[in-house]
Amino acid sequence: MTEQTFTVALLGNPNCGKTSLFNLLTGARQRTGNMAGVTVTGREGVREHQGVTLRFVDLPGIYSLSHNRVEERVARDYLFETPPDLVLNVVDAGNLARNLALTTQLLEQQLPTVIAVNMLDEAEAQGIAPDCDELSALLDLPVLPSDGRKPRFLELLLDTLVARLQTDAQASVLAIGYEKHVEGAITRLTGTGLERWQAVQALESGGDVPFVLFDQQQALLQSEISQLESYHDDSAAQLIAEGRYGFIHGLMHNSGSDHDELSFAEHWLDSVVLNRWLGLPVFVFLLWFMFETTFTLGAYPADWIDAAVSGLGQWVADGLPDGLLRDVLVDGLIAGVGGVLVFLPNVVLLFTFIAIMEQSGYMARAAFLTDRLMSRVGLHGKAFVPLVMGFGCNVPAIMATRTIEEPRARLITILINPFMSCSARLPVYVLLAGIFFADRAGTVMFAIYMLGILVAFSVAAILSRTIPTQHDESFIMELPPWRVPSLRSLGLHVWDKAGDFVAKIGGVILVGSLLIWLLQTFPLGAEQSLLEQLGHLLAPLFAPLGFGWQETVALLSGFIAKEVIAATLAVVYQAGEQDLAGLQAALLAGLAPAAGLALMVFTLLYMPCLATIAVIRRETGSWRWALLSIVLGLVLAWGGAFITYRLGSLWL
Amino acid sequence: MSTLNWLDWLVLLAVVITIAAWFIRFLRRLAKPGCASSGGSPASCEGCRGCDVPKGPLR
Repeated sequence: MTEQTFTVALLGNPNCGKTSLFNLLTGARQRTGNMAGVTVTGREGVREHQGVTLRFVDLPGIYSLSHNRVEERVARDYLFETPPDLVLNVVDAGNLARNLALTTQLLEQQLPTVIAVNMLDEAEAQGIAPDCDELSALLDLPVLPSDGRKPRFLELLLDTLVARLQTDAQASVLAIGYEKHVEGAITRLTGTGLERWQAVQALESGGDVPFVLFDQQQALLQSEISQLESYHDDSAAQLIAEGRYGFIHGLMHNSGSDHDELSFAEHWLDSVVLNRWLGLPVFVFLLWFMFETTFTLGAYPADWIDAAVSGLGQWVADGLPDGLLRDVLVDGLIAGVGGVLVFLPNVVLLFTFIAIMEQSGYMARAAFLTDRLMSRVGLHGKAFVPLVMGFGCNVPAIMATRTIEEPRARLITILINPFMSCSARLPVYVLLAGIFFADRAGTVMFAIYMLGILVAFSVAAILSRTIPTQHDESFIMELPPWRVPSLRSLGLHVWDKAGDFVAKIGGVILVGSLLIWLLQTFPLGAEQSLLEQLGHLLAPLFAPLGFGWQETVALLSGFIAKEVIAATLAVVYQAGEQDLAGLQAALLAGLAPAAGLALMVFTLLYMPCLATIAVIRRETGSWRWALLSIVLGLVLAWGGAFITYRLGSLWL
Repeated sequence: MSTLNWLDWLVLLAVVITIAAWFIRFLRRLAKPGCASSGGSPASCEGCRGCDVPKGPLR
C-alpha cells in the first residue's frame, strides 16, 4: 500500500493562535508569544492520520498577500511557487472581520482552503462567537471550530483535512464585486492574459507580485493604478480593501457573526495600561515587581541547589586524595559550574514573567506604550521585540532584528541590543545584590536593568543622529485581546529556556570554569598563579573602579560568556568546599559595597560576549560594527562604573 | 611540574583537550556560513537556535 503524503500550509494573521495550533497538530515545541512576529518563516512538522501523512508548514503570520512586508513576501512566494495541497486558514474568532480579509485573498486565488476558527472559547465567553456552519454554507468550504491550546477539536480538524485532501474537492471560487472603476481595471488587465486574482493582487501591491508581469502588462498596470488614484483620490489598494471589507461585512451579517465588542474588564484593563499618564508607571511597576519576585522567590530553590552543590563538593573533597583530580573537580567544576547552577531558579522565574507578559497580551501593549519614545530615539516600532528578547539572550535577539527592513534602524537596534541585560548577567546581579544590598536586592536589580534600557535608548538617540538616514518603513501594531496564558504553553516555553541555560552550563561555562581553574592552579608551587599574575597586570586599569585582581580576571573571563563572571568569582575565592554563604562572606570581605555596585554596572555595560560579537559581525557583515560595539561597551562600562563607585563611596 | 604523578598528567591533558576542543568548535562554527547566510532556509541552516527570520545579513 502506498502511503499518501499531503502538504498543508497553516496561514493566518499574527496572533490568531496559528503557532499554538501547529504545535498541537505536530507535537512540536516552539516559541509562541502573544505579539506580532513570532513566526517569521516556515516551520514544518509531520503527523500521521488515518494512514495519511500530513506535512504541516507553519507560515508567517500575515495580514495580507499583497503588501510588501518581508513576512508577506515569504508566505505569498511559498503559496505561488510551491502550492500546498491544502491551506489551513486559521482565523481568530474574536477578530473575525480582520482575519477574513486574508481568507478572501486565498479564495480569490482559488487555493483549496479549510478554515479553522480559533480561540472560539474566548469569543464564546464574550458572546461574539461566529456561526461556523453558516459561514461554511456561505463560503462553500469547511469552517471548523479549533482550539490551539487544547486538543478538543483536533480529531474533527484532522478528519476534515484528510477527507478534503482525499476527495480532491475543487477549491471554492470567490469573485468579490469591486467598485466599477476597479472592475474596469481588472477586466482590462485580465484581457492581457492575467487571471482575475493576479490582476487584483497586482493592483493591490502596485506590481510587486510573485508571478511575471510583461512590460506591456506592467505599463498597463501602472496606468490603471494612476487612473484609479486620480478618479478617487485614493490608492488602488485602499479601493480593493474597501471591496473586501464590504464583502466581509455582508458575510458576517448573513452568518449572524457581526458583533464586535470588548468586555468591560478588557476595556478597563486597556484604559489603565494604555493610559497616557498611568501606562508608563504601571509598566515600570511591573518590571520592578518582576525583578523583586525573581530575587525573593528564587532564593528558596537557589538555597536547595546550593546545599546540594556544596554537599557534593564536600563529599568529593572528602572522598578523593590530594591531587589535580580532586582540585579540578572541587575547585574547578563544582565551584564554577555549581556557582552558576544555583541561579537557575532566578533565570526560570525571569523567563516565566516575560512569558506571562507576552502570552497575556501585555507585552504588545507595552510596545504600543513605548513606541513614541522609541521613535524619538530613532528606533523602529519593530525593535521592541528584539529588545525584549535581549533580556533572554542577545544572540537570537540580534538575529531577530532581521524583521526590521530599514537598514539604519536595524543597525541601531543591533548595536544597542547588548545593553539589554541578558539572562547570563542575572547570576552576577543576584550574587552581588544579595551580598551588598540584601534588603533591597530586587530594587537594585531593577535599577540595573533600567540603567541598561536608559543607556540603550541614549546610545540609540546618538547613533540615529550620526548614522545616515534612509527611507522610513511603515509599521502596523496590533493589540491582541487579553488572554489567560495557557499553562502548557507557558511550561513548554520556560522548560525550553531553562534547558538552554542548563545546556550553556554544560558547555561554555564548564569550559570557562576549567580554563580559570587551569590559570589559577599553574604554575604549581609558584608564589602567584598565572591568573593572579594576569589579574595584577591589569588591575591598575580597574583600581579606580574599586576592583581587585579577582574582579579583574572575573570580568576578563566574562568575555567568553557573562555567567562565567560568577563562576570565576566562585573559583578564585575557592568556594568549591563552601556554600554560597561562604562565597558571599569572602566577597564581602574583599570588596566595598560601592565597588560591588560598580561591578554590576560594569557587567551590565561592558563588551558583549564572544557569541554576541560573532553574531554582530555576521549580521552587519563587518568587523567595524562589532569592534564599535566592543569599544562602546568598554568605554561606557568604565565610565559608568567609575561614576557609580565614586558616588557610591559617598553614601554606601 | 616534577611533583605531578601520572594521574595528574592525565587530568591536565583532559582539561587542556576539553578547552581546546571547545574553542576549535567555536572557531569552526564562526567560519561556517551558518544561518545568517542561509536566507532563512532550514535546509541550509547549521541548526543554531533563533534562525527564524528570512532576511540575510545587513549589507
